[in-house]
Amino acid sequence: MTPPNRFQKTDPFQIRGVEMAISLIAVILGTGILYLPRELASDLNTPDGWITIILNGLLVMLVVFLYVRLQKHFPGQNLLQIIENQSWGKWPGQVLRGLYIIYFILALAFILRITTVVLQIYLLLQTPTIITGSIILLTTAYAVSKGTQGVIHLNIMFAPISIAFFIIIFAFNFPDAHFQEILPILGEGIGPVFKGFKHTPLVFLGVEIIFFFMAWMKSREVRALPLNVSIGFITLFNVALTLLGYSIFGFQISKSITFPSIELAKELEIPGAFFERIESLVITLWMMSIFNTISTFHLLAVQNIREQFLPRGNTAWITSGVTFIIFMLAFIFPSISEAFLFGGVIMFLEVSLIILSLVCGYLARWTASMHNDRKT
Amino acid sequence: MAMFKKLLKQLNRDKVRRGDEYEIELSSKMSITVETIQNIVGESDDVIQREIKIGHKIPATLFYIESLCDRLTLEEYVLKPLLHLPAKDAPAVITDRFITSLQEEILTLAEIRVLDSIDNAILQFMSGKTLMVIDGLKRLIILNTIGYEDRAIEEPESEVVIRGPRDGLNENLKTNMMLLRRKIRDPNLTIQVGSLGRRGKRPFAICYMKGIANEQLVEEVRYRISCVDTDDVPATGSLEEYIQDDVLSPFPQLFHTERPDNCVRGLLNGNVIILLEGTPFALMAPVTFHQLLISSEDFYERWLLATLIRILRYAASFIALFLPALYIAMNSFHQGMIPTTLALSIAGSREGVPFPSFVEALIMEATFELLREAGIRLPRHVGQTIGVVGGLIIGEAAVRAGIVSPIMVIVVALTAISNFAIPGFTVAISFRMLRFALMVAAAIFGLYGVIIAYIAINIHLVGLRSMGSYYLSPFSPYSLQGIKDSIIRLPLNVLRRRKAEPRTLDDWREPRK
Repeated sequence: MTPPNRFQKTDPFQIRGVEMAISLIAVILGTGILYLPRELASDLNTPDGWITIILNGLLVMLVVFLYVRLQKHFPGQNLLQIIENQSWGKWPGQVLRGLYIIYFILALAFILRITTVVLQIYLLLQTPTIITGSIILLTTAYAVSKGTQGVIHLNIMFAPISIAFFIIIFAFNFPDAHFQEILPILGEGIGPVFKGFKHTPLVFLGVEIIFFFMAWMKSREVRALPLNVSIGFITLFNVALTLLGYSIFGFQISKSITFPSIELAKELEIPGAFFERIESLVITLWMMSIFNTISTFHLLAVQNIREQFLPRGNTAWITSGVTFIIFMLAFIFPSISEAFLFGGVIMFLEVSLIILSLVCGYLARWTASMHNDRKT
Repeated sequence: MAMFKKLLKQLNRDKVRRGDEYEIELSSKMSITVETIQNIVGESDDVIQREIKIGHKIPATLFYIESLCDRLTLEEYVLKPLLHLPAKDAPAVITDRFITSLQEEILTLAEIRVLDSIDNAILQFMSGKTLMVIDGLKRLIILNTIGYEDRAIEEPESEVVIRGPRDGLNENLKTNMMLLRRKIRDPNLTIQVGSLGRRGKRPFAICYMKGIANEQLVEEVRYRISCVDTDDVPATGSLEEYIQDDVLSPFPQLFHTERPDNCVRGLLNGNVIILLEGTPFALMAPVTFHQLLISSEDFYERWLLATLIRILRYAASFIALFLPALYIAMNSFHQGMIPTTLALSIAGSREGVPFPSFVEALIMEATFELLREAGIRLPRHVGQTIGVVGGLIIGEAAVRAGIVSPIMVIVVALTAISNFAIPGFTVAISFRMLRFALMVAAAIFGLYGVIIAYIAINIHLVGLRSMGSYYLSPFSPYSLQGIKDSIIRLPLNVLRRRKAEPRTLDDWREPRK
């Protein structure tokens, strides 16, 4: 009996600049906790990893800045559309899209697997990881059914909660921190800092979403500043997380704890509070953040597959197909250490895709301007 | 009016009363017209037929419904002028001029209409107006003599405030329109009346502020209501079910209120108000989740108090939704979270209880829902007794008997109190339903289940629309202006713009500086 909603046609969804910035925080913030500061500690062998994170944050800001400059010339188009609309761009665009699909699906499988391991260690000891993992995937598949608008709005809803999660960890761990652990700063020179780049790009996993979502923004709201403030914010939080990890556990121990950041939550003692061991609560808060990451990637994977292979027709089954593939991939790794090794592959894909996208994008801009010049 | 025309079309297509064979015919001969009308409504005994001679000369027949008609008005303002009309003023042949003079000079009634179709006239006749047939005139005259008993304007029971107006809407559409008109004396307040239901033909009104409310929204509301084609729409609750966006959602997508001041606030915010004859509840469209947790009192208290009370209300919603689920999760999965001494005492008190905490919680929650339902049905004074008996005695006895633990009684009681602290009755019901779903999730997966259920609810809410408005505004889509009046309420002179949803034609409450 309910009449069709005729509003949607007249009221198109748009992402505002602030919303995009909040979305970035929601998507990126949750993943850092999976590898920090363990990988950094073992890569560098000095407690200078936080400098690497700052340097990496600056590089990401540069990427955002470059992409925003590109986006300003092509309002309403996402990166792949920009490339595909050029005369030379059809094949490169499709190859890039194929690579992005592979990247999203692999990254999803990786994040999912590690998340389930965290859940098993800290929240549900006896439930098999396959079950917890499939529940997350089903939930994100439900989120994907709400489309871009739904996923972006979920990011906005949960971002304050993920920020609250970090602030809880910082505020209550601060009194116990021994900051002499991070000294000496640059004790072995600047060299080790660059070794850290082996893993730090994973901290910013998810920055690629701007390549796809900024097409939904009004052209006058396409600005780099709010996005870079978000990146700065994320960098700051991850630096603080690393420093706290070193200063609470000591540098040497940080190398051997699987999830030091979550162990930080375990150390929490709120004086006079009702709850005693708060880590399960903190993990549940973190779940929202990781949910944002997974659902956004899931959406982008589904959307890109749809655009690549089935631009028209009934495509409802794609979500379920993608969900199944991710599920299978996630549980192919026999153990978590192999899953962590797999992180390297994803990071390589991420970095090369970002560089490739920007190069192709600027090439597209160059050819487009040449074309326009010839016309006028 | 489109709605009205649509109904009339149906009236013309179908026979007014199925199974009867008669012709709807308007004739200049009075006897034929009278027979037609008798065929339509003559079987009812409360339809009175009165034959008179206007000015001692012209035969005429009056039809009225005894129960709906004000006899005094009829006698004083219709019968008296007509019967006492001097014979010289009454022409031998009825002319249009006589009809005009009847309206302009003779009858002292406020509303008189001359109609050309029986369908149209019967529709108005059935609402209590008097129908006059004059011999020699191929038209019908409708005289407004409506008058019936009405409930007084009382304080609404479902939305009590301490500081604020005490008037409430009642079952009469006219009274309700009066209550709105008296509060907004702006010519832009537009009230459009139509009728609803094939059989019931209840009048309803769509009210909105021209120049504030979005035309698309008004058009959408009108369209959806005109799609309702059923025997009768008994209350705005039924209307809501016909016109809401998502039938499967546990959340209310339209706002119910008994308070005219709530309606006025909605109107000035660009919402559309739907009033329906026969129910004291007005519908407001669209509504957002956060508007459901707002009470009109928030705007009558000082802002600091209002802000604190709003935060309290959000906390109450959290407790009403999550507390039993969290208790189950902590008790069955995460005992480590509970402080040791408390954990020991909980374990001690649960020692004799034979059920797992989920079953225990389910028993208590179900008992509570039962008590609540019984309390509503019972006579008011007995209802209070049941509350005491149920709450205190059964709770105490259940603890003594070892069916539930004392801490469970506390959890259930706290949940119940929090549920009552939510001002919107409809959203409290959705929390009640979702609470059970969350309890099941907590029983299976502990805190993980709770958080997944919470995420799933949020996914549902971001996809939900109320007449095209985002349900979770102002948080998503994010609007700083909206947040000023959501969980907090800033001073009124800061709230210079209207809410983010619905979109309005004029965003500013105060002139822009």
